Amino acid sequence: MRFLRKTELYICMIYESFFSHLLLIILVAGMTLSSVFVMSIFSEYYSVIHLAEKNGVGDKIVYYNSENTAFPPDCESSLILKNRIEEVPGVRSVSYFGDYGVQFRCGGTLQYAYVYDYSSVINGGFSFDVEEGQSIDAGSVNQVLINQNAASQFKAGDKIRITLNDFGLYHSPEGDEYYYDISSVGRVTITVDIVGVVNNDAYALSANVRSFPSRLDDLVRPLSDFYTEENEAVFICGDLQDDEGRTIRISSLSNLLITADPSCSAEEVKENISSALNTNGNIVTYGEMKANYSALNRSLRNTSAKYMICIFLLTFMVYESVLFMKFNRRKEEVLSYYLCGGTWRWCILSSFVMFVPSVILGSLSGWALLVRFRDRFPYSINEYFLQGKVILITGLVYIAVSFAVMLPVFLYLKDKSLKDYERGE
Amino acid sequence: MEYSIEISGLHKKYGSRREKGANALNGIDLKIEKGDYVALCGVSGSGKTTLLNLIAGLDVPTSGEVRVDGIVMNDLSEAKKARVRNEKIGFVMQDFGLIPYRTVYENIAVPLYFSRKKIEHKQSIKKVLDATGIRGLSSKKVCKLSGGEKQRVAIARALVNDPDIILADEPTGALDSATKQEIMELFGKINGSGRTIVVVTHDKELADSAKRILTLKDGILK
Repeated sequence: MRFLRKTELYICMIYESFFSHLLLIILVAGMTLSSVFVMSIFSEYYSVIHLAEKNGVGDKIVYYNSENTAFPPDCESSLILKNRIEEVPGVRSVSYFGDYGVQFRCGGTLQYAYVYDYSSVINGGFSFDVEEGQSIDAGSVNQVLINQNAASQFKAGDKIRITLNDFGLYHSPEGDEYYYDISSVGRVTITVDIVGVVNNDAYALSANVRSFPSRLDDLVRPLSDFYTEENEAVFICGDLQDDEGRTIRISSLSNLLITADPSCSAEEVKENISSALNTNGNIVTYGEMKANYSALNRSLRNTSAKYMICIFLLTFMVYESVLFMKFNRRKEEVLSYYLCGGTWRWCILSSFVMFVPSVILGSLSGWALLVRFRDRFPYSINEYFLQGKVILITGLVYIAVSFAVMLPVFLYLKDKSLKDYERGE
Repeated sequence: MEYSIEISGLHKKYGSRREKGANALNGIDLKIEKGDYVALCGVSGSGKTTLLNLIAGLDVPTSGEVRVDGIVMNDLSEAKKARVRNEKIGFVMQDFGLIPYRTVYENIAVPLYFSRKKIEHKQSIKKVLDATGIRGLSSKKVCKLSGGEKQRVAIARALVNDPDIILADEPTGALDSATKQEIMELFGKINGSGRTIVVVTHDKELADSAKRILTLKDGILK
């Protein structure tokens, strides 16, 4: 009952200082956005680095991207480029990294999925969990694993017809393989067997680079990151063949992930490829990418940190001023409480406590904005900000800031009696 | 004999350099019976308000003892003093001490927020609104009221928690003579209901309406 009475009093106090509260909500929301933004960058950076290095392949990867440049001499197609690189000394494997869209019929409607080349996952040295007893080899023909999203529509043992589209299919010069080029469009329909469901593809890394990899996670990131938002199906396959038994190469035009022999470093392989292809354009080692990524993150982080510090300072000053001003303005109110049975400490604390709902509301608004507009942030703030540790850290930051703001005001006022305060001493 | 207020050997010295350790009160001994109506008079700076503040536990004495309804105020913690103020004392001030941007009803309700007594809010507020003759003003904001009306609100607030003692500091200081008369009558009625009243005043008329007049001079009770 007493709690309700005090709550009523607090509601009254909050209502009377509506604009101060509104200002505080906006500032705290801004503070939330910026702090989570910076923390997300940290979080994203470390998780990606950690993920790639956990697989123990980081120092053996060379990445080749020719999307924005002409093919090297004698390499009129990515397939030939791949073959040339495979012959370079020190190269252990060369993988195309890319996805392509497929259509399939399910329940009478046409649906879409994305296909990844299973061999690239395997050759890249990464692994993933497959449902009990299920696996496919790199050389398996027309066998696919499906992700959890697709598992709602299919089960292991299903045979489905899929149409590969959105790219042109040509006979390679050798006549027994397909490769595609962006200049033409074609499609082919084939039958595939679903042999299992990928339980945890968190460690099944793939690459999806559209331009020079300024960001590490453009090169390697969990498959599940790609299509979780659209809730799309993902097929991970071995070799695909058309109905006439011809192999269809899943080959991105320009992105190749190359691993080095154990006896050879990534830097040496990079040198060898450069001299073999007579080009040094867009060949980069994982180490270099990591350094680029670090530099980019550092600059991004610094910029964000500057904004964040400004917002923090602004919030801090406004918060402090509001507390002081409100307290001065509320002198008559405080006097009334004091005379009628409120302790001096309660009178001071109530001035602070009444802002707590605004701080909570402000932080929730900040989170809501972040969730709602996360796609619009530069460098795509990902889902990491929803992780418990980020929420925890943000919470601790608020507590620390609120405490730091309130403490000096409280200490200043605590040692004064109401009479001193009235007299302006 | 039952006493509402007992004061013995009360000293109050303001220790700040500015005031050079001036003695506001110099050994006050005073007993006020239950149901008494005492007027504390004296020139400005004689220590009247200081004495009232010490009785209410708003200030701390340098030495001596203040008992309110048998409770030694000196020994109490801040929280307990606040509780005594809430349950046993109603305070009326010259400048009313009201919250100007709240309604009459909300102002009168303030002591009830801090009260541990099981009191029905609406009933008690209605009762004091009637007793002080301001029922029609209930939903008006205090800043819109006249001085006399504000003082009635202050008195109503002092009464709402049903305290035994009313302490009033210059309650008619800011009022015209007609309104003053009404407030004096109100105090008379309150005293008639068995409550103890201590009123600090310069006003002879108000002092004369009390049962006892005590005069303070240089911190000493004459």
